[in-house]
Amino acid sequence: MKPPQFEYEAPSTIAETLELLDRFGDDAKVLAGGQSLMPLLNFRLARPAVVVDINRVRGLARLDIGPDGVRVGATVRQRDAERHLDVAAANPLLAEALPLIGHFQIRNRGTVCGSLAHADPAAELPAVAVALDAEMEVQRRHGKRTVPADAFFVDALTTSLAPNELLSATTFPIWRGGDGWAIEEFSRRSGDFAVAGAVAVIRLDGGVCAEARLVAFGLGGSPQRLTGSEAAIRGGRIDDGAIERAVVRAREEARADGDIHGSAAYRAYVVGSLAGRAVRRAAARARAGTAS
Amino acid sequence: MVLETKPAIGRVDGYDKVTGRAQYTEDLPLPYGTVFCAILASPYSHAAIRDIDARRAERLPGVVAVLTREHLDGMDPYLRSGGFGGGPQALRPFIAIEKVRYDGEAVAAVAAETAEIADRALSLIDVTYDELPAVFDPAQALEPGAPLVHEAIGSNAVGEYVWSWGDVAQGFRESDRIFEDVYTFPSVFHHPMENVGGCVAEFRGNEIQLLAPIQHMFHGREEIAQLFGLAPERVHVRSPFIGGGFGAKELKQPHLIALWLARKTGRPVRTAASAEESMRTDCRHQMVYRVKTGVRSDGTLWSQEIELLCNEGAYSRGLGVSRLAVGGAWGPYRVRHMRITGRSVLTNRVPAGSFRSVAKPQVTWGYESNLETIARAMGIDPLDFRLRNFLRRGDIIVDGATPLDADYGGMLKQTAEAIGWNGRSQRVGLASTPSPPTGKVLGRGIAATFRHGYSGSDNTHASLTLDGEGRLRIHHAVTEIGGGLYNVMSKVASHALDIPPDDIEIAHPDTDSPFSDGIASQRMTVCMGSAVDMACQDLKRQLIEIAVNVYGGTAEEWRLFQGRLWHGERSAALGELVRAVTPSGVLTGNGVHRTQRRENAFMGEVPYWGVSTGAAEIEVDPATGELRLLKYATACDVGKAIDPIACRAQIEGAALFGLGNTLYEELIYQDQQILNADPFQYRLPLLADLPEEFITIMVENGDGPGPQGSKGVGNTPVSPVAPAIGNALFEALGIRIHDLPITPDKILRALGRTQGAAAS
Repeated sequence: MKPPQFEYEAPSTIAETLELLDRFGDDAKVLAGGQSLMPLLNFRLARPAVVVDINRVRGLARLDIGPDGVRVGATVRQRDAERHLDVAAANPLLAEALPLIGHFQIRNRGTVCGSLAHADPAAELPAVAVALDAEMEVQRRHGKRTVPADAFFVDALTTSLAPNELLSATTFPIWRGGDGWAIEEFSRRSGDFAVAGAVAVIRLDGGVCAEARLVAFGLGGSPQRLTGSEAAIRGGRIDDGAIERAVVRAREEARADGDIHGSAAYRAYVVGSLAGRAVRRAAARARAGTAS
Repeated sequence: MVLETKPAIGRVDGYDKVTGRAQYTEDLPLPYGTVFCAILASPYSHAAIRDIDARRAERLPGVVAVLTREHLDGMDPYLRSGGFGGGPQALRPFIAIEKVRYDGEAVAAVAAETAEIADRALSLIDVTYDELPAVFDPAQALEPGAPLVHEAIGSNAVGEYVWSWGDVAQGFRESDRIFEDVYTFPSVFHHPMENVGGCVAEFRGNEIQLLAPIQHMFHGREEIAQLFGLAPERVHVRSPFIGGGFGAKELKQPHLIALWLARKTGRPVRTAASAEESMRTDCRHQMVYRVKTGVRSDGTLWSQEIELLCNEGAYSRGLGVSRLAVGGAWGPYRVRHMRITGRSVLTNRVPAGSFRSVAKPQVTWGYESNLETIARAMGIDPLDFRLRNFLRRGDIIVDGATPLDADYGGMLKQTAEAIGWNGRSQRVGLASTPSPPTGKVLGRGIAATFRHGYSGSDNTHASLTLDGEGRLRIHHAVTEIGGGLYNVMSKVASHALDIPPDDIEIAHPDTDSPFSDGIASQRMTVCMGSAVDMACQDLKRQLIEIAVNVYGGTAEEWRLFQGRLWHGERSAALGELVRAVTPSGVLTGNGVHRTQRRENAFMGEVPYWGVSTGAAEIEVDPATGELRLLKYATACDVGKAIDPIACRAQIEGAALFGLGNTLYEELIYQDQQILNADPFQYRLPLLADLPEEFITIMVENGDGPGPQGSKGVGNTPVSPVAPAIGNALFEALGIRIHDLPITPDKILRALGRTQGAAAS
């Protein structure tokens, strides 16, 4: 299908962009890489009056790595972040997650911030952002605010962005040496959205789990922190028994929805399996990291 | 219209298709004054139509005509020609009359000056429906009190076909062990790359021209003639290249609607179907396979009772598919006592139709899963169990048909070996594997299938013209649908007349060309190949006659070699001989191939048997239910591969096709609607889902009825994929998924790791 009719605006500055969003509010949709918006338009699931194309906006395509973190501008392509020479060292979890998104043709166009703002339940990057406490830079016509990731994601396809606001950049923290990381996901067919997935970040202290962050995705709503599962491994050694307890807790606490690609019971079970695998890999990396 | 090909190597249609010159229906230039058709489809699977108000649409500027049941002016809207007989006929109207019976049934249509206006007009048509309870499952449809799809028939059961031999009751008494099982196969969509339902329709006075991708053009012509009350000769159907069909490319509702609008408006009418519309035109028959098998203690199959429910969907023309399902429902095995019952059942699904290897993937899924379960339960190796019971070359399968013309044992062994297995294993499930419970587990499975070579009668004509430059043109009425038919025709003619393929042109087919039943059922290598071969022999006879008259000698002394006729040292180019009788005309040769229809379960004399085997190695993850196909091998008895590349591609394509309905595909109905009739939600396998080792074995014994001993191959290899993978899963984890597709969700549930209903 072809998209419904819409007006097209292509501002060249952030100020113009914010002005347009302020003027059109709910009637406007931001177009960056188009990998989420264009299918929505073509399936007529979204019918915005105005599409605001931010690809020509100066300054949004920057990826900066500094002491505050990896700051990814609104039009930075997923593929550019993936192939950036320094991203893997600065934030290896982000580097591990990016290649899991769709196919490379999709990542050539799709943007990091676009995926975050779209907040698809099955997307990898929102879970990564929550696991890492990423900071979302949100601008509107007369102001700017920074939103922590776990306050940014509200529900499936819903964020705390107001209609007149733009996610202008996201900052992922610089990796702390010694942290272990892993992302695991399962999709039924190569390149499909994940049926379920899990992200783990683990810090060891003398072989004991000092910090653990586990986030599940693909359950139907926002990325979900698996706090019970985290508690099951925090404060002890991460051995087979601890992992199995974390798996069981994850299956209990996962709030999953079902659809034609997987029932709720299935998703909850698999999230447990994947969380266990993520913990196992992250812990191994943490051990290797702290040992060296 | 003639192909402008540069065929030197590869496919004769390859150059045109790769360069974009090849025209499909949507590429055709539109005749002057063409109007555009849009169709309002029912959003319900079952609802009475209380009222249709199209007045606002009719008043919209740019709208040229509107069609609803109110506009028929006494025309009989029901399609009555054709049909299989054998049960009540659940006739379909070309536009909904008193009620809608499936999601997507056409309720109204508009012809307008632009496609946009036509679309807008649809939104101005108000239809008031009274929802009726819908039934989608064939077993439920047979229960007392089930909603009736056609009240006038009085039941959703529309026919029964029974085939039996021996005495099953006696057979079960003589059996040492009895096994009972039920397997189901989902309705899936053909999913050709070109959507179903596009056309350009024209009425010129009292003559109809329909340009549309249609596999059975003459059958379409007859249906159109009946509906519009014309002699069939007044109907001209032309099929450009078909962008894949797999059975779906037939005369469909949108074509008839376009023709009605063309008659009404006096202008050409174009339809172009969306993917969502296309996916509501046709599907494979959902089937329930219920089996009871009696076996002797030595592993000899002894007695079998099989009951099939074939889900016809909302309309049915009799027992065609139930009958073909019954024919071969037990597999390529010797069984002493047999009783098979096939029942056709109406439901509120999209009407099911022809589909690559009609009815065979469904029954193969049933019998090969059942057999493997028996073999494993009796502690007999999967290969040995089958070797003991296989039909052998020369066995009579049904009176009046060709005896079995293939060697199952050798083929199945070879197929297993291709994935590095000897077909022997006593392992079932996790218990005997050393893997930890979260580790991935390997499993291997084999399966065999058989089908009648092709179904029903056949009547295929080819007509050749040879001009003074020595160029040969083949006139015929069968479209290249992607399977490589034009290559076969070209190669057969090239071989028969010993001329280069460059000198051969293939005309585009239409109903004014020499008759053919149409392309389907893997029949064209044998049927059209033979017709072309005979036409070449006819031409050769005439050329020799001319040579004798012009140059002397006897007919026996002239020999054809490298595109010239030779008599000792003297030779003449074929073109010269044509010029000797006509300075600027052509010489014509004709050939016809016929197969008789028989009143058996295969609906014909079966000139050869479609024989194929498959072997799969999988890896399955019990923690997620993920199933990965690591290796898949197919063997297919091809008789002789006339074009080895195209032949291999047909077999590979068939296996990939089978992978779709094994792991991914299913049309899911809920309440009144299909949940996934779009290419985004409906999952097809991608090339990336193919196993790393994907092996094709072409068995060539030169014993087929086609040119050079060939047989047809495009259908048969679809069927073994699902049971081979299902059997591999059985070896890996000891679980049996009875309902395709095999999804991770179902695997975890079968392992007892999750409860409740699995998603599809």
